[in-house]
Amino acid sequence: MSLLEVRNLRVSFATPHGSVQAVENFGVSIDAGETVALVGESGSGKSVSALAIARLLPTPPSRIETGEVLFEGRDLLALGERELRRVRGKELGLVFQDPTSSLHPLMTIGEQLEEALLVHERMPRASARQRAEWALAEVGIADPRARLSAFPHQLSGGMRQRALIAMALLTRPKLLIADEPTTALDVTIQASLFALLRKVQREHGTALLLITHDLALVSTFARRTLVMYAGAVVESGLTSELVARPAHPYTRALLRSVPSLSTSLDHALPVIPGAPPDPSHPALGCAFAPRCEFALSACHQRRPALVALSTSASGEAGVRVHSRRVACTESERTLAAEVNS
Amino acid sequence: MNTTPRKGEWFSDATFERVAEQLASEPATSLWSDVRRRLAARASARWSLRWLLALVLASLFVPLLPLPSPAAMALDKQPKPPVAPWVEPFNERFEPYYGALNPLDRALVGVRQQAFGKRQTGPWLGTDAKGRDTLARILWGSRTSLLVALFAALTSLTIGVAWGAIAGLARSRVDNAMMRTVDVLQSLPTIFLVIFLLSFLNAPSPSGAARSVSRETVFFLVIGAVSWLPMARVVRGQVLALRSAAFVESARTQGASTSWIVRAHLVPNVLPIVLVYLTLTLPSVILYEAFLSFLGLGVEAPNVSWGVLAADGAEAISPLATFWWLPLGPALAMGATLLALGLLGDALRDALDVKRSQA
Amino acid sequence: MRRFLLRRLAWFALTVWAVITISFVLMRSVPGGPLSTDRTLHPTVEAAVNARYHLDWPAWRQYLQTLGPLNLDEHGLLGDRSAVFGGILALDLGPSLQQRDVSVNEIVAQSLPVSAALGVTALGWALALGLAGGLVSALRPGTALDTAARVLSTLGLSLPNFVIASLLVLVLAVAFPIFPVAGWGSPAHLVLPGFALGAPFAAYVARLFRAGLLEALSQDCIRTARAKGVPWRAIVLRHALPGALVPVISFLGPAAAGILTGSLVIERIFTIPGTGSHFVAGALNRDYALAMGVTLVYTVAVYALNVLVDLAYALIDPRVELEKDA
Repeated sequence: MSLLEVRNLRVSFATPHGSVQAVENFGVSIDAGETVALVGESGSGKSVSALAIARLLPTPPSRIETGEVLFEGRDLLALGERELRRVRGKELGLVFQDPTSSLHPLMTIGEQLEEALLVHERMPRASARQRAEWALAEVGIADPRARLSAFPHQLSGGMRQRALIAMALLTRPKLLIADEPTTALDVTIQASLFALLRKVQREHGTALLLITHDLALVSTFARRTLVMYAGAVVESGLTSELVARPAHPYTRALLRSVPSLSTSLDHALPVIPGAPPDPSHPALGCAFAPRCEFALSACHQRRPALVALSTSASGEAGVRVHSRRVACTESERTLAAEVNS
Repeated sequence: MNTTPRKGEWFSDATFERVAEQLASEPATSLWSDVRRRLAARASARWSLRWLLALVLASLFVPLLPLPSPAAMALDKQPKPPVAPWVEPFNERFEPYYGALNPLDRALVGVRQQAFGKRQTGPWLGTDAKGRDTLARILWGSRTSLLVALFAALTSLTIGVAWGAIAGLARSRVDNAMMRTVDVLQSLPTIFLVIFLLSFLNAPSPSGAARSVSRETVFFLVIGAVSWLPMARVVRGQVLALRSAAFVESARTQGASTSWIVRAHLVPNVLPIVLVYLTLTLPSVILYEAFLSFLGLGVEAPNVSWGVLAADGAEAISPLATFWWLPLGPALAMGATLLALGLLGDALRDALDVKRSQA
Repeated sequence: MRRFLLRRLAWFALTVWAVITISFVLMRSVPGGPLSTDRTLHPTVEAAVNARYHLDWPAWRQYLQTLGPLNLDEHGLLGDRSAVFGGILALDLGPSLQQRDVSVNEIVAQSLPVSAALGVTALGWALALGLAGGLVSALRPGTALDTAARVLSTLGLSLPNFVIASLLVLVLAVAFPIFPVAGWGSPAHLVLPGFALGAPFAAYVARLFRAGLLEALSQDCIRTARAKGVPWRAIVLRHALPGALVPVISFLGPAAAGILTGSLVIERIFTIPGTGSHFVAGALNRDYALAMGVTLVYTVAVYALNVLVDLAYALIDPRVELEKDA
């Protein structure tokens, strides 16, 4: 049984202009200890999906229309507030994008970390403090004891994010959702933070759902990847295969737009023309069709479903095999033709 | 070097054209049309505007209305309670006794006399101890209150905005000096000094000679003198923040002149906060006037203001006899108007807040 | 910290000096002296009175006498020959010009506790009502309760305090004689005046607190707390409340000043023998010394309160540096 199984998640927001669909159809399954990446540009619905899983979206404007979020078999969407609170923080940890605003400015680091523990376990304050100190040391913060009595504004951005990671991992959650953890930080810190995540994951066996807009980054990090566009998953599968042979035109365009050392200097950098669609005016057919170079007339009329292309070639023993899925009329045809030929 | 994209590595021209068309077809909105729309959508804002407009119109045309004169006294020794409009809608006891009227008002009163003759409304809101009609006094009093508010608004707009803008744009030494002045002026207990000033001016001079400056002029000057300070501070803060804002810097790097930046970037971004503060200043000025009138330092009889009426009303309550209509009428008028101003200010502030994700 | 207090002290001295000088200039520039009334006095009586209050001295000397700290008079004002010090800098506010043989210090000493009690009651009402109202509004935004609270608070801001006072007296003292109409002496006498004086500020506090709480609850750090599994009550009380209180605390300074000025009117309505009514009487009777003395006392009180507010501010928010100029 997978650790997290999300099916048919649909989230909408109520605006004065009417209801806007932020997430069309989101689904993912994560096994224990696995790293899955969720890639997409701003507005693709990736953060909303992640927040919806933990039910952290503000419910007056937002509404989870349908969906199942099975965490260790229990549907989180059906839980009452009190039971949900027991899962949040303890089994399911979250790390958000902006470390500056995510930490409470008027409480010390130590107080905030201790709170993460004391809310779930009864223990003397001194033990909580000790564990907080160890956690800070584990994430690579120097002089952790002094840092405990520091306020967030006295730390650098990178240290704040490390502290947040420490806070999320204090309770040894089974799944950690990291929403663009390095986007607000210098690129130079990125590598070290990811190394930290990987180390922690290996040591504690935590599963990781990594949300990012950087497709190139995940290629070394995540075992499986989901690509989202305009609120829906358009492609998913083993990262290695996805990067080597992208099936969806959007994935293809994304990979192509990343410059590499071997890119020829003769040509301008490839970009994807246009902009993501306005979610308040959803298109009839495929959402990417207006920008797609392979668009067929059928693409503008019919919304393609996420279908399995083929089962992955390498079926390692004991590892669940996930099929490669794509939502594209064109790819269905092309790749089907390839397979058949 | 060949810079044209190779075929297949670039999206087709057709795709670009299609996308450009789509972007061009979306409607453009401006800040003020958004503001208007948001304001119109809020019921409290609509009603507040209606009330305020009605009030302004009424106070402009009050000489034309078939009301009793606000200063005409009767020989009753006691205030008379209100008589419902359907019991005594009109009577024929109009006496054209007013204080000094400006030529326009005199003409309007003349028109009124021709149109209505001796007819006047009955005592729908009762009369006070000197027999003066409360409804008429409330409506005539609105003129003073609105005039005071307008004057304070103009003062704070001109002096306050100018002071704050100059301080915000000037070098730090000039800015410091200007803001220190504001600090000192604000830390003075102005109410006390005002009361000082007004009460000494009110007391009769020993020789009985006319004073050089009329009491009401001083009154207006004083109101103006204290109204501009908060506005100056707020404008200076905003200008200071805008000066170092990224979009101003980028305009400058594109070669925009200072006057262009002031016109195109500073004014539109300062205007909203000025408007909001204006709607906050007006109620406090009206309350200030009421306060001073209560202490007897406001306008002189036979002129009337809401503050004078409220003061009269407050003194009319004693354990012996209760003339409840005397405080209630002005309280309702003042309360409704200040409520309208407050709600409008709230709606305006919400409408101007671009970060809010509403309409 | 020390630099902060020193700088505040310097500003305080400047403000007090400005108040004294401006008042002095205002009083002297008004035609007629403090003792000019409709009745003309007999010349000898007038001369004696002028001599007693130093009104025959040149203006600069009168100013220095008022300012202090040295007593420039050989006899001392109340016949005390040994007085070396006098004037405001020696904490002597001089004799009252209208009430014979009474010094302003005595008047203030008698009436200040009364006004202080009234002011504290008003502040208490303001905080209690305001915080409660703001809390209810913020935790149940958009409901009928919220709307009711907001309309009430806007109403409280829309009426002058004496109108609120008269309406209160109308309902709670005349129509239903629960509280005394006026006067002073028992705790019951504190209720209506305190409420009327504090009501507008309660309205302001409610608005500030509501806005502050809503703002605090929409911050990212609240989301982090929820993600940690912190229960809602702890989130509101421990995470959101301190930040939301900051604007309320900042408001306490202006609120205290407003309560002091508002007391002028309230004390008059309810005939409370406080410092405010003495000020009004002094101003209207041209008792310069009393009026100026009370003004100074109020200036000192408001200034001290503002300093306390700044200190409290710095205590709550660790990011605030005291030495920075506002």
